[in-house]
Amino acid sequence: MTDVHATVHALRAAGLKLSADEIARIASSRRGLRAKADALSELDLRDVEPVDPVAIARTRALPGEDGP
Amino acid sequence: MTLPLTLPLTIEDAAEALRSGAVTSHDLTRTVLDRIARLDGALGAYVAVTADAALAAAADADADFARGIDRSPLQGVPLVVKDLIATRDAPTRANSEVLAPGWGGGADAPAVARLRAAGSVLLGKSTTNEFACGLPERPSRFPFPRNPWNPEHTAMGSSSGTAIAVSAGLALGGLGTDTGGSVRGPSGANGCTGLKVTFGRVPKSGVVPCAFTLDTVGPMARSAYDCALILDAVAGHDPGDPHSSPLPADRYADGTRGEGGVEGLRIGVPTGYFLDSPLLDGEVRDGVLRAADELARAGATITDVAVPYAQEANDANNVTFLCECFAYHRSDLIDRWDDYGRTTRELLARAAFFTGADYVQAQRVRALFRRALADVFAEVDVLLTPVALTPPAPVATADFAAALLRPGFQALWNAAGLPAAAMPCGSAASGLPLSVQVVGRPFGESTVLRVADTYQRHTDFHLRVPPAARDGVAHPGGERSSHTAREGAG
Repeated sequence: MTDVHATVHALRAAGLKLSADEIARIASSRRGLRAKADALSELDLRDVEPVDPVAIARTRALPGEDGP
Repeated sequence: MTLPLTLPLTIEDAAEALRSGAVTSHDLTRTVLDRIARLDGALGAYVAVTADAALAAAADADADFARGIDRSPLQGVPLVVKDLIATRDAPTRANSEVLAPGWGGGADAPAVARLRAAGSVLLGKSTTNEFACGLPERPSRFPFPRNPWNPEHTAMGSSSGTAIAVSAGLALGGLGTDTGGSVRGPSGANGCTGLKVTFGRVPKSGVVPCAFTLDTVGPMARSAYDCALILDAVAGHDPGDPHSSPLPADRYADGTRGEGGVEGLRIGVPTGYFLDSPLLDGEVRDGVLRAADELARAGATITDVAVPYAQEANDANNVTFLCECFAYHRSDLIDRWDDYGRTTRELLARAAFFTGADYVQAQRVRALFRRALADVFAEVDVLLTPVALTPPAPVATADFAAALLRPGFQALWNAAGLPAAAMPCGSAASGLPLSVQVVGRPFGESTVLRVADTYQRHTDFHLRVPPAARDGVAHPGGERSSHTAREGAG
């Protein structure tokens, strides 16, 4: 699948219908952005709890530290 | 008082002049409004100027001074608020045709209400990129923000208007918002000081959302001490913001000046992803190292340090930002695609490349990064990094989407929720500002600002005023100013 085809597929799934020019511009960065997301996925973090934005606003401590 | 008066460079100077009787808030405000009328057509810092309301607030401040009422160091000081933050006396438009008219309900956001309660004078709303996302576009009914040091170079975003206003003397300080660098980027590009606060430190209720787990509201001004004065007014819990921290706010101005500077403080200078990046401009790198040397002379201990998962954290922030922002805008993007600016809608549409699993993994990476930072901050008290890879680029080459693929030194601190300040550290050969970033522990704003303030008491880069805006600003030998404008390299 080309970047353009993959972009059209992704945009349709998101409910967006764009012009050919717009699709071409957006498709030009698809490979780079996917590579970054895929690189994050290569980290085995299945046992790591996702960050909790409410919790991080309630403490001066970083994970593993003591303190309020 | 004969107008125009010489504009004090800093809030600190203005506060002193107001209390000594050397100036009234009315004359100070009138002078800044005159500067806006004279200079802002070329700079595009303001999307709305609320002159009548500002002069009324100035009259109130003067009346309070006359009665011996002193609400805070901000009393009578003219400030500006980014047009993403609701105010009662001007519409909030987020630089967009899409945002519902009347957004904010005609009420002040809590951060704005706190500025008013502190006695400050709000001049109006400052230019932002559309929804804090895209790039300035032409044609548009909104002003095109111009870097006062060189209008052909970007003022960055998205808090560009507040940064331009401070740099050019069209306000003495103000508020911006920062989701991935939007306080620090424009502060660096325009030569002022800006603080991205710890997530939850300043309420974001009444602020048009960008990415709800990353958004922060922060102070911007010429000096770190001025940022502390603003933060003293706006920090603290707000029940209307589910992410607002219940932890008590510090006394930031006292903390900035009251603990012996940086004597004994451990400052880490990250190598690897930061100073060893092949894309890092040599002048930027030298500026950071010179700042480290200056802080060492002031008594700090400087050490090289490794920051694990920096690249991953930066990328996790970008995934989070795009997904959360897209989620906010999706229905409008479907129904009103053409009403968005081109760069905004095409940036947000890129969120379609990511999956739900990508978003959750990004939140795990953020947790991993915070865990790694516990080890880093066991060894150092703050980090000193570049703000950007290069000095501000030509407007014609600015590309937000491309920036997502390059190394970045700002967004990763949003991912971790940490405080980080950008401040001037010199000038490039082109005359454009160079900037350095100080990063601290969670809720370590006082320490971050103390480092920045110490640096600024040993240097004068933060006092440099762009040539086009220098007329009428305090200069060497000025009667009222303990700070004096420097001409800079440009």
